[in-house]
Amino acid sequence: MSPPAARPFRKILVANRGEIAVRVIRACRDLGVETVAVFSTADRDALHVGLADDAVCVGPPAPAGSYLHKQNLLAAAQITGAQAVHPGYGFLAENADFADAVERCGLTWIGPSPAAIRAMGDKARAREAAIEAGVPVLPGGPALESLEETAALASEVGYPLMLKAAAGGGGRGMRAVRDRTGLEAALDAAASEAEAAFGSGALMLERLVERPRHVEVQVFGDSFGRAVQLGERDCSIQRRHQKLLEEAPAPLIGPELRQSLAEAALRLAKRVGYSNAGTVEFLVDGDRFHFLEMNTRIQVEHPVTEAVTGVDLVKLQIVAAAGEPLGLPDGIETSGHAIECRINAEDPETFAPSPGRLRRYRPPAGPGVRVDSHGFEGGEMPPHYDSLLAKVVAHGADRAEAISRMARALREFEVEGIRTTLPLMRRIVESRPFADAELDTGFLDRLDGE
Amino acid sequence: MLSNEEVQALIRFVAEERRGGSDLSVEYQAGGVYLRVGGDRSGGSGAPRGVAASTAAASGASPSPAPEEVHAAAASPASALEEVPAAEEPAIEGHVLTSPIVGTFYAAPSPDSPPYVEVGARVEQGQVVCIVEAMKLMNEIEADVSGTVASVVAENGDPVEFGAPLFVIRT
Repeated sequence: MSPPAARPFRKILVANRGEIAVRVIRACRDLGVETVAVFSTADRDALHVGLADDAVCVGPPAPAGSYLHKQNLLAAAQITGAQAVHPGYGFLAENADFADAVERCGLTWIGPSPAAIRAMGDKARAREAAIEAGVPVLPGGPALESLEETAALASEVGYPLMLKAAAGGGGRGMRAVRDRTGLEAALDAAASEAEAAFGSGALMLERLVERPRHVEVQVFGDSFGRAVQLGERDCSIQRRHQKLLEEAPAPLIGPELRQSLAEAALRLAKRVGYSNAGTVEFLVDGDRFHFLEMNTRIQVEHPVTEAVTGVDLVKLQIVAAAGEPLGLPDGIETSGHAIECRINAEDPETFAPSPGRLRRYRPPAGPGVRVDSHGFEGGEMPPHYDSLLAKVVAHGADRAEAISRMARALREFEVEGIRTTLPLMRRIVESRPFADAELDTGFLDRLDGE
Repeated sequence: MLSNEEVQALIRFVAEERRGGSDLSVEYQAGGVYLRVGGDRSGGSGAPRGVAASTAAASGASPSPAPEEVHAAAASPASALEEVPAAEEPAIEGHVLTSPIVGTFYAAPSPDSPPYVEVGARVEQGQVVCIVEAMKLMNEIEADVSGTVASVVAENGDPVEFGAPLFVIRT
């Protein structure tokens, strides 16, 4: 990527907190763009606030009054003279109404068009688009009005099946259903969970794939209708549908499957006229793959793709939003192997959140190691937000070198004052099944069963 | 306004307390800086900062990190000396009315009108005391207590953030 002749924007408001706000501010710095941080009263001393050129308090600790408060965020852009808004991930990143409001205020939204966010945000519509683009989908469809109709669709699809929220992801509103007797209770539970999380209780049902691999393709579109793919990531190691570890390229994927995945993702991106960064997620079962969903934002795990492609995806988001061409080849070459471990402020056994003050914080460094974090010694992990503390990314010439560098990095990493998932991540990375790339969504259960 | 010596003493005090493992909380009020040893800093007191939002000033300084953070990590580019004068507001006793939203402060309903309230005016709870404009919406801000206006903290046209002090009202 050649640097643009002039800086793409004078000033960008980063409508987020935590490590991703820090990540976006760094990309802005690299581009010579000024930044505005927003923060809640619980985040006054947060790292992103200190790093930004300007900072505006946008509300109380509860996200609804601050990081999700559209008017305060837009007013913060207004009073600081920001020209564009980067939403990060989570919070309002996939909120088409907010993207619309940003544009109506004469600001640039650093992300895909509101229309693309809407089309992919509704799982039923996304599924239709995938079918139209010739991307394989699992048997399924939207849950219907009456229990009888839905039960009829369910027997057509076949058990076991998976219920999911039509309006969102992240494991909320998801239920596996083994047979007809469990259907009604699962529908009720999933619908109320979806209603609470996304404001819509609409559900989809799809045939359940037992212990699939979870592989996703990074795509990127510019404002001239061109889209490229930047290779895939394996995100199979999860607990309760939350990713713990990601790697690129996906191990043990043959060249044919790799190419089919990349082409399918590109077809879908082009079909919906996609611009900016996006991720097409697939369930992979042996040599077969099926469309899962498309995420219309930068992903938490984007650094593994950055490591193997050498492309700064967040910088590219900003440059592309400013209307610059991507300057990338159609089929990008990757180099070596990269792994990311998410270090959460959680009890490593129960996964209960562990907020508090970081009495000690010594992140790892050294060859092939990158840490994206908002942590610092004396800093606070407030209880109100996502528990992600740090992402450790290890890059090596091959997977074995990436693993040994990751193991070294996790051993070096010292955090005291709160509990973290570091012990769990060390156990995963140093395990035999991980070295053998026995990757599927049942990985953690098997490891715990040892 | 604290003198340089007082700031230095404050930093030393905070550093020593931290070394001793004390749980310190630091609060800024209109009247000055309050340190509490063993206190609960997340107590939701909504303690206002001593200055109106200086966000458009582009000073590069983070808005008032507690001095202990400046000591503990290089997280803030600003020096402690630039930060501590958050206490420079005159020590006016009273209830601080803070901005419930982000926007631009206007003391009067229009440029030609007199201000809603001035120092010394009597206000009743629920009375409109100013406007905070956000996205071209004129949001009327009401007094949350009854009393006498002791100070108008924000200046006409100031950008204000959530929690920025607007008025001090003596009840």
